[in-house]
Amino acid sequence: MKELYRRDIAALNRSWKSRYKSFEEVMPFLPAEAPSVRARLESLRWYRDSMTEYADFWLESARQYFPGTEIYLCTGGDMAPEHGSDFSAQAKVASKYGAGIRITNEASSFPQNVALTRLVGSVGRFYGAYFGHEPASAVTPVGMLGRMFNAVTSGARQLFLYNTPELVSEQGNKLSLGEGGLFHLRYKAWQKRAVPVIDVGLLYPTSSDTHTIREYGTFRDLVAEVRRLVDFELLDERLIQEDALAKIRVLVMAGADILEAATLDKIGSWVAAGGLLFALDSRPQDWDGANRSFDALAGFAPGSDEIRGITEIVVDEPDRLPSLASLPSVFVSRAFTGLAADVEPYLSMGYAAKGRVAWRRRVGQGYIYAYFGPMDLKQREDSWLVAYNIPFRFLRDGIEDCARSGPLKKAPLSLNLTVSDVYLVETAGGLLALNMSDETKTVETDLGSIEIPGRSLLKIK
Amino acid sequence: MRENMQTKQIRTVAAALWLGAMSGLCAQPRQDPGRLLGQPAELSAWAYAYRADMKIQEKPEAAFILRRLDRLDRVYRPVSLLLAQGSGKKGLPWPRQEGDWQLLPKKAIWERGELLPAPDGALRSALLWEGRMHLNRLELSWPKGEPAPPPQDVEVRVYPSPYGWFGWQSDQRVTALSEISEGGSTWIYGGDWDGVDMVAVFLKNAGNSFSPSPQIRAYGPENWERMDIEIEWGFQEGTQRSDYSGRLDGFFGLVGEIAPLAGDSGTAAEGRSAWTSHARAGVRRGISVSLLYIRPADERIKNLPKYPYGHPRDTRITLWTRAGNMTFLVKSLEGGPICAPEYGFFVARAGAGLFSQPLEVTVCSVSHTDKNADERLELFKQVGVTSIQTYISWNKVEEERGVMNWSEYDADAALFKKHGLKWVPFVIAGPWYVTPEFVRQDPEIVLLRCLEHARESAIPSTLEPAASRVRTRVFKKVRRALLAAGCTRVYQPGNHRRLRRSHLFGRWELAGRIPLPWGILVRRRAGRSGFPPGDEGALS
Repeated sequence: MKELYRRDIAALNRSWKSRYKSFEEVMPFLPAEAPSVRARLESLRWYRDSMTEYADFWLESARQYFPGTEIYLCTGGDMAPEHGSDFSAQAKVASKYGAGIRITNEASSFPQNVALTRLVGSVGRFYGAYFGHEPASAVTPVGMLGRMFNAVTSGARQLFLYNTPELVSEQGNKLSLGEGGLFHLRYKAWQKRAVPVIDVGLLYPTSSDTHTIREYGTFRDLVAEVRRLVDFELLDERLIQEDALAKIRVLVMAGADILEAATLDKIGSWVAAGGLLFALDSRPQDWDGANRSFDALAGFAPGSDEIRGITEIVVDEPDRLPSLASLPSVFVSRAFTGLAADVEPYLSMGYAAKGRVAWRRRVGQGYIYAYFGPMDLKQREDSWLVAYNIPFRFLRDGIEDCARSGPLKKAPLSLNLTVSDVYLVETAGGLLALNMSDETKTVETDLGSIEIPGRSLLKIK
Repeated sequence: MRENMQTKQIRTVAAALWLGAMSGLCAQPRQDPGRLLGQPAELSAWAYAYRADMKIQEKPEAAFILRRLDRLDRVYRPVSLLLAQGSGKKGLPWPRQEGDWQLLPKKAIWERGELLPAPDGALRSALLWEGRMHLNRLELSWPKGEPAPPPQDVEVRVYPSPYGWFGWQSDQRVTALSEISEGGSTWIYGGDWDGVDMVAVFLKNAGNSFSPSPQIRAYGPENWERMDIEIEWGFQEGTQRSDYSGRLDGFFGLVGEIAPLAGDSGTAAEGRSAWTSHARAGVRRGISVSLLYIRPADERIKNLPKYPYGHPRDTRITLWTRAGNMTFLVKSLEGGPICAPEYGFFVARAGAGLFSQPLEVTVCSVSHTDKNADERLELFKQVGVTSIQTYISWNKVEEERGVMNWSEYDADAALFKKHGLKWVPFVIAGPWYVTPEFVRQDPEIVLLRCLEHARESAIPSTLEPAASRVRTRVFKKVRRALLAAGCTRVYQPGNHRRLRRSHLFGRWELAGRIPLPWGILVRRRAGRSGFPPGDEGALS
């Protein structure tokens, strides 16, 4: 902190809204005792950076003694703040030493596994660090099939398996392949690396303190839900600040309550240059509590006001949001008034006609699609409404509308809202599918109607 | 860019040979990569060439050859002679002043000894590279239709140049004339000359009416390798309508025929390495192209890369387009695609998405002590497993300070080798449960302190300098043992298994994250978000 503030304690106090008399008084604090958001996040950055420095030490040591050997930095978790891990920083360090990263703690759910591994895959591809996937423990047989699909379609270099009965079982003295082992045998030819083709990015809000989503759950659960809908790159704030947005056309922002000003600037510039931003229940502030940057992008005006009340939703643009228009009565409880004049309403409150729940706004060559309706991604015991998965319907309808009306060349082939347990991934080698369920499923894609047998992988094109 | 006529000829010959091979490839893709593929790469095409029979050199940089030879004769040779005759305590023979010869320590010059005398003959041909080359074959091609000079009248020299174009250098005679072609027009010299950036040919009696200048071809130890790539552009908003017409240049690399990406109707090849590209229908805009490239061996100094940003002989491809330019290292594509958003290009190996790279499938863990270990390993191989991971715990191999015992792991390594499986040792040197007793008892050990509970844990801070030194020492020993056993991959615990003496979060939960991740996360999945003070789980 002394270096950051150039030994000026007054500058630190102004920035942190604190009253330290000297830098010697500045000690680590518990999150609840942070003088300000900036103080908390700058301390968190120091913590994460020091962890990365330590990873650097290990990698440097290992590379020194093993100059020609593949080296993996074993990392884990989902980059929650208290872990101290910073996957993109680790990937940069690993890349520096020609090393890779192995992310541990996959389990048996494909979308949850994507939520746990995708950030490492995205940063690895961006910085040129190879990567591998590891489970936390034993995995169900169909979970093993899903893990293989995840590793292959992510472009992972390595897939780690535990020596469990699901792989090779033992009865008496006789060994035989377990059910999971049989999947590996059946799809042995698949055990190679694909190159994913991804147009959609999901923002990983590195600055977000809590990693919770209002009315929903954890950010990791949300990532898994997005994977149920579409394949994506997970982009943290470092990647965005280093121009990773250039490779994608659609960015989904959800659960982002705080973002660094530089991240917001990059997103704004990217939208103006033609990017399509879907902000789902997110109105992020910067580290100093200012939300002017995002508000200006989204069309909030000085007179904008948040209003509350339970009313039916009105679909202002039924042609653009067909799956939302087809729903029976849907209720919402929050909207905004006094938005900028150039905002195109998409969803509004039924009993407060000027209360906008969702809208689109053109910014330069791009668009922002803002949504502030319920985050009813799944039915919960305490849900006060029937869950129709409205935010993802908004997202899917919006993406398809962009493909129809021109801002997007085509909708992602991996887009699939309606068929559960089926996951599509577009790769340079074609469209690949995973069916985790026991039954044969049929999905409609741009390539036609595709039938995928239960518990199987399929190369469609 | 203008090219030396001779250089152009060489390149044309090389390209013609290769393109001939490429056309053959169309009939039999990926089976006959052509005459140049796998052959030694000719490096002279990327040198500045000097020919005494040309009044004006094609590339003005060739003038540096004359300047460097002149400096060698007038400065470095006399200095080396004086130093060789003097004593090591003497100063340099003239006052110190700014000058590149002074960059080299006197002692180093002294140790190099006296340089060769200047060549007897006159300079006829030379090559100069921008970086240091490793050469092992030189070919002199004398003009056809004329007799070659007698070999005793020809002197060939190479120039080791440790400090670049403007620093101290020496020269070596090339004496091993190993082959003269039928007809005598091509002479081949074999040898091993490393770190040279210049080659020169001198001819005695050059003032005679017959003073031919040979064409020099130089080859290094690297052979041509092939890579098919795809280059995509126009995918960023605002660039879709841009004109990306352009061309490719290879530096220590050859560019094959260009074809538009599938479905890109706006791009068309124009000549051998150029194209036009305008926005039309099609999902992707860009080209596919085959390259011949070289991969110099990794060079290291004190185990650090000598060239962290690319070896001087690495193949570089420059993409010149009307919308922007970019240069990339071909070998970088072996690690994955290159995305350069600031230039709007995406470069990837063609076919990388067609399942071309095998996945490393690793199973953990099997021991030589396991019942049915052989049968189990064969079953693993049957389903595509390529390697076996085992854990190497610090306290198992170093129970007593400095005394290493690898017997348990040696037997495992031998077992995996027998089955043709790689061994992946997972080195655990951080958590408490692998910390040797002599480290635990070290009075200087710094332990983590829980901020929330104001209490020390039994876990050493791995940032503690003494602990780091200990682990570095262990790594050295691990390396010796593993290399002896044929280890191919190493894993290491890294990120969140370290805490400072004071930390931000202050929960004992974090202490539980010091061990290996599976232990932590299994606990988390069981619903425990932390550990109470003193809980053994927090210390394991």
